[in-house]
Amino acid sequence: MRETAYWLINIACAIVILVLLGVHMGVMHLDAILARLVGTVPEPLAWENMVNRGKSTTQVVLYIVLLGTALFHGFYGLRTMLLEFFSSDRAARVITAGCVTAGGVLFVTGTAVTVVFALNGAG
Amino acid sequence: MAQLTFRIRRFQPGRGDTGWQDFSVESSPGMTILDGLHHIREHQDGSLAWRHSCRMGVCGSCGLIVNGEPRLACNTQVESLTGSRISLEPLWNFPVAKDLVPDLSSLFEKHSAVAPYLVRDDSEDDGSDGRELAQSPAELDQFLQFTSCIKCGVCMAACPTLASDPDFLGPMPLTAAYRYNADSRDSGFDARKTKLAGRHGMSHCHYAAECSRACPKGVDPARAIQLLKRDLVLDLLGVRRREPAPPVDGRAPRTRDGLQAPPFTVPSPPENPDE
Repeated sequence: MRETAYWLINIACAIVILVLLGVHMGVMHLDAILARLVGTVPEPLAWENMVNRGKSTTQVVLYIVLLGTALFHGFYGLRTMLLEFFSSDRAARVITAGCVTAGGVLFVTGTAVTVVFALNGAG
Repeated sequence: MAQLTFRIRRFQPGRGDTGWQDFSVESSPGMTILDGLHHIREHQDGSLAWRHSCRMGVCGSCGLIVNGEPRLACNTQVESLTGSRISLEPLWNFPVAKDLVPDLSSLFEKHSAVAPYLVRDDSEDDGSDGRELAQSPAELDQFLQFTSCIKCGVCMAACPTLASDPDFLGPMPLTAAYRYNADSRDSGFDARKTKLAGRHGMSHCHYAAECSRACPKGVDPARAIQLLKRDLVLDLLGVRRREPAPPVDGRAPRTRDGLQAPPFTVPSPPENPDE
C-alpha cells in the first residue's frame, strides 16, 4: 500500500499547494482587490513589508509547508515519469532514493534559509 | 461507389515490420473495415492476416488502429471515416504476430493477475450446494457498466502510460479488478490489493482518459480506475466497507444495502429424465 500512500499524499499536497498559491495571489498580486474588501493592506512589494512577512511566524510556517508540499508533489511526479522508463526493481529503488535525497536536501536547505531569515532578518 | 485505398502496415514473423502496402477497394453502403479486409484477402492478397470472429462488436477479436485511432474493424463503417485513404495498423502496445494480428498474451496475463472472478472468504459458498448469493439492483448498478468489457484490447492500445511502461497493468485489467471489487458478492479485495496498489498498478494511471474515449462498448475504464483509486485510499485509511453479501439459506437474507432478497431454491431434477 506504499504506492497508494504516496499517491494520496501527492493529491493532498496538490490541494495544499492550490490553497497556498491562492493566498500568495491574494496577498502579493491582488492587493488592490483585497484592500476594497478589508480596508487598507500593506504594499506587498515594499522592502519593509517583505522583511516583516519573513519574520512572521505564520508566514514562516506557510513558507515551509509550501516548500514541503511543492517538493513532494514535484519529486513524486518526476519519480513517476522516470519509473515509466526505468521500471526494474533496482532502478525503482535508485530513483526513489534519489528523489528522497534530493527532496530532503532541498527541504532542509530551504527551511534553514527561511528560519535564519526569520531570526536574523535581511541584514 | 467511391474507390478507397486501404493502406495496411505489414508484419511478417521473423522479419518484423515490412512496411506499408496499399490496396484499392470499392466502397459499398454499410461497408465496414472488416468487410474491406475480407475483400482484400479474397481478391487481392490471400496472405493478409487479421483477427475476427463475430462481426458484430461482441467478441472483441478485431481491434486494430484505424487512421491512428484504436477501434473495432467490425463496427467501423468506412463511410464514417474522412478521406479516401484508410490506414490500418495492429493494436499499439502489443507485440505483433503477423500483419494486423497483435499478440495479446500480456493482456490476458495481466487480466488473470487481478483475479477477475468472485472470491469468497467462506469457501462453502462456492455455489455447489445450490444457495444463491443475493444481490439487489442497486448493488448490481455499482459495477454493471463495467461488465460490458469484451477484452478487445482497444483501451490498452490507447493508453499512453502503457506505451512508456509495458509493465503497467493497463485499463482493461484495472477495470476488471474494480468490477469484482465493487461486486457485493465478492470478498477478494485484499487478494487483489497487492497487485493493484503496486508500482505498476492504479497509481500509475495519469488519467489521460484515452481508454474511455476509445472503448467501443462505452465501458469507461478511466472512471473505473478513479473509483479503484478511491477504494484503495479508503482502504488505506481503514474506512472501506467490505462485507460480502450473505448467501440465501432458505430464509430471506439482507443484502448489503438492506433490501430483502427472495429465498432461492434449486428445482429438483426429474427422477426419470428419459421419460
